[in-house]
Amino acid sequence: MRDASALLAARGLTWTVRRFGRGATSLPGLVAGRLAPGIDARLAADLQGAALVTGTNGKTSTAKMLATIVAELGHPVLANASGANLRQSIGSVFVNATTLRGRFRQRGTIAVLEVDEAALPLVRPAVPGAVLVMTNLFRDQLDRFGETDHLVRLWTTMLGDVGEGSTVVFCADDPRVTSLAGIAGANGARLVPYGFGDAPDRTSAAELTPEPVACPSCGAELRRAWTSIGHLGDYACAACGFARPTPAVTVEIVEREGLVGQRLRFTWPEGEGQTSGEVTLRLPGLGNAYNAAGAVAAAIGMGLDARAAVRALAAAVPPFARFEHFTVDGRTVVLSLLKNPATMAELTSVAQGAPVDRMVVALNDAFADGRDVSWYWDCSPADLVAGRPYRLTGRRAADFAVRLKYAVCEDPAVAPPNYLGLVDDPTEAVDRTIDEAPAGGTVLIVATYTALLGIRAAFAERGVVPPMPR
Amino acid sequence: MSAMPDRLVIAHLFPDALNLYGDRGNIVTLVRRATWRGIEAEVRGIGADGAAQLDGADVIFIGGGADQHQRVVADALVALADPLRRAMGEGAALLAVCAGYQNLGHAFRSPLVGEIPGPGLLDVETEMPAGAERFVGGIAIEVDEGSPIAAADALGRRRIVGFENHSGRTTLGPTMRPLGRVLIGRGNDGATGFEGAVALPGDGELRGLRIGTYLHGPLLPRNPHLADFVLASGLGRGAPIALPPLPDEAEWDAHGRFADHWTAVRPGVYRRSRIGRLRDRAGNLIGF
Repeated sequence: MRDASALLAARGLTWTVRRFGRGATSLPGLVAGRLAPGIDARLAADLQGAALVTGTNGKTSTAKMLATIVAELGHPVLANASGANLRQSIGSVFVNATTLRGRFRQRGTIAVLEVDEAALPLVRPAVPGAVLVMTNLFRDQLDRFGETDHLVRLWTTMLGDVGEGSTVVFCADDPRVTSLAGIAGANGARLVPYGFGDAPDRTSAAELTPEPVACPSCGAELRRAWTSIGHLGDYACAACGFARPTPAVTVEIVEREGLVGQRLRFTWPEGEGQTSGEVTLRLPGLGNAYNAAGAVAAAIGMGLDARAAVRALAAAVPPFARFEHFTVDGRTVVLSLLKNPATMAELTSVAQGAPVDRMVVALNDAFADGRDVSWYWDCSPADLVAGRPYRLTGRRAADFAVRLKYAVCEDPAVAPPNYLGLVDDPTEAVDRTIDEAPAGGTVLIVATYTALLGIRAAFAERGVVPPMPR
Repeated sequence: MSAMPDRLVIAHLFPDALNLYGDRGNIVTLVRRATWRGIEAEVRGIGADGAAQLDGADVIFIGGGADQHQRVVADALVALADPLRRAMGEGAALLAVCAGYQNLGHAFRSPLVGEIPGPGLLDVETEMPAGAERFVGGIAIEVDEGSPIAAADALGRRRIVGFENHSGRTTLGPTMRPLGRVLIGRGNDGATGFEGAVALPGDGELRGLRIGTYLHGPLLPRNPHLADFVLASGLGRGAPIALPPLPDEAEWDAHGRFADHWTAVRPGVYRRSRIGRLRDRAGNLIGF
C-alpha cells in the first residue's frame, strides 16, 4: 500500500518533470525511496534477472553489449542512461517501468545497469540479486574519486557481504579486481572470470606504461607473463602465490578491421570442457574485445545461452562517442573519447592499423575531463599521431604540444613533423581539418569529455549526427 | 666557468612504485634538455637494492605515489639513505615530488599508515590528519627575487606552475626555505602561503641542490627555468654551470595558458595567512 502511494507520487513527478521538458533521471527514485524506504529492492524482486556493470574503463560499452545480448535473446531489457548511475537514478528507472502494484509492465524484464564505481556499494542494496560485473580498476580520474585505494577499500567492505547465491563476473587479467572478487568467492559466491586466452597481439608502439600495481594480496612485486592494456595481463606473485585465475570465458582477436571492427573468437565452458564460437564485432580494439568477453561472461552468469550470446554480439553498435562514424562533406569522420592512458593506448593501437588522413586531438581539463590530464606524459603520444597531419585544440592543447615536442623533436628549434598547429576553438579546429582532408578521406577526432561534447553538439546542430542521447 | 660536461646521469628512484600522473615527464624533460645541448643522458631506475647505481648520479628524482605505497617506499629508503646522502654530498641535485617530498623528510604521519620515519634528506616533516581537506587543482608559486631559479631564465621569470593533489601538511625545518610563495592554490599546508622546500647548492652540509615540492606530474616541462636550474646544479655538482639557452616558446606558451586558466577558475581558494609568516617546527620565525 505504502509502495503504491510512493509509486503514484513518483509517477506523477516523472510526468510533471517531463512536461517541462526535462529528463526525470533521479528525482522520482529519490521521492519514492523517501516515501517507501527500500522500494527499489522490492521492485527489483520482480525482475527475471539483473546485472550491475562497474569498473573504471569499459563499463558503458560492456553494459551496452550485455543489453544487446539480452534483447537479442528475446528478453525485455531495462537499462539506465550512461551517467544516470547513482542509486536514486536506478530507483527512477524501476519506478518508471513498473505498475502501481509494483510489477514490471513487461513480464520477464532483465535489468542491465551501468553503475559508477564509487557508487556501487550504495547501489547494490537496491538490486540485491544482481550479478556483479567488474571490468577493471585503472588509476584514472584520480582527482574525481580520490585514489584507487579508496575504491578498493569501498569494494572490499561491500564484497564482504556478497556470498552464497550471488554471482560475480570479473576480468581475470586485472589483479586488483581479481583479488576483490576473491573476497566474494571465499564467502561462497559463484565466480565467472573472463580475459584474454593468450597474450593478445598488439602494436608494440601502443605500449602503455603499466601503472604500479603491487600484489594485492601481499604487496610484493607481481611478475608478468604478458600485458594487454596497462596493468591488465597474465600475472603471478612469487612471494604469496596469488596469480591470475584461468578465465572461464576467453577472447581472442582473429582479425582486426581498422576503425570499423574486429573478428573475435570466444571460448566458454560447456559440459566437461571448453567450446568456442566466433563473431564480428562492430567495435575495434583490445578494450572492446575485453568488453565483449565481459558481456558474454555476464550472460553466462545470468544463466543465458553462451553460444546465442556470442552470436548476438554481431548486433552491438558503438555507444555514444566511442568510434562513432559519420559523414561530413564527403569525408568520413570518426569521433572517439580520450580519457586516460588506457584509452590513449587503445586509440593508438586501433588508429595505427587504419586508414586515417588527418587527426584532431582536443584536450580540455574541466571537472568532467578529470582536472589533471597530465597522464599523457605516461603514454606515447607520438605514436597516436604518427605518420599523419594533426591539429591540436582545447584548453590543454599547449601542454600537449610541449609533450609532443619532447617526444619527437631532435632539434628544439624545428616543429614536430606533420604538426598543423594549435587552434583554440575546437569546432574551428575540426572544421578546418575536415576541409583540408582529401575527398573520401577519413578524419579521426579524439577528445576529452567536455571537448567531445562541444564538437559533437556542433555536428548535431548541423544535423550530421543525432543529438546526444538523454 | 667550467667546461660543459658531455654526460648526464639521472637516478630515478622507485620508477615502478612512484610514477603517477606524468612524473615521467620530468625525466623526459631533463633528458631532452640535456641531449638538445649535446649532453648524452643516461637514466637509471633505482630500486631498494640500487645503492651502487647512485654512484656518479648528477640528478636524483623521486616522484609521487598512492598513499598506500608510503610504507613500502619508506622501507626501501632505509637501505638507500646513506648512499643518497653521499651522492648529494658530492653535489648531485635532488628533485622530490609529492609522495617523494613527504618520504624524504624526517617523518610522515597519517591515520592510514601510522608514523613512518624518513631519512631526513629534506628537512621537513609531514602530517596527514584524518579527514584533512585534499588540495586539488592548478597552483602557481613565485620564487624569491634574486633566486637562481629565476636567473636560469633569460627574462628572469619567477613564476612556477603545476598541479597539486595532496592531503599532506608539510612543515619546514630550519635548514630549508620554501621553494616559493603561493600565488594560486594551497601549497605546503594551505595556511602559511608557502609551497615546497629548497636548499640551494652549498646550503647546509650537503653540496647538492635539494628541492621538494607538491607540484606533481610534469613540473619541469612547464617550467623550463626550473628544469635548467636542476640540470645546471646537478651537472656542476653543486656549482651550477651556465647552459646555452634553448628555444622555449612552446613551454612558456603552455606555462602562461596554464597560469591564466587556473587564475580564472581557482580564485580565492587560497587565502594568504594574515601576516604570511613561516615558522619552523620549534616556532622560530624563518621567513615571510
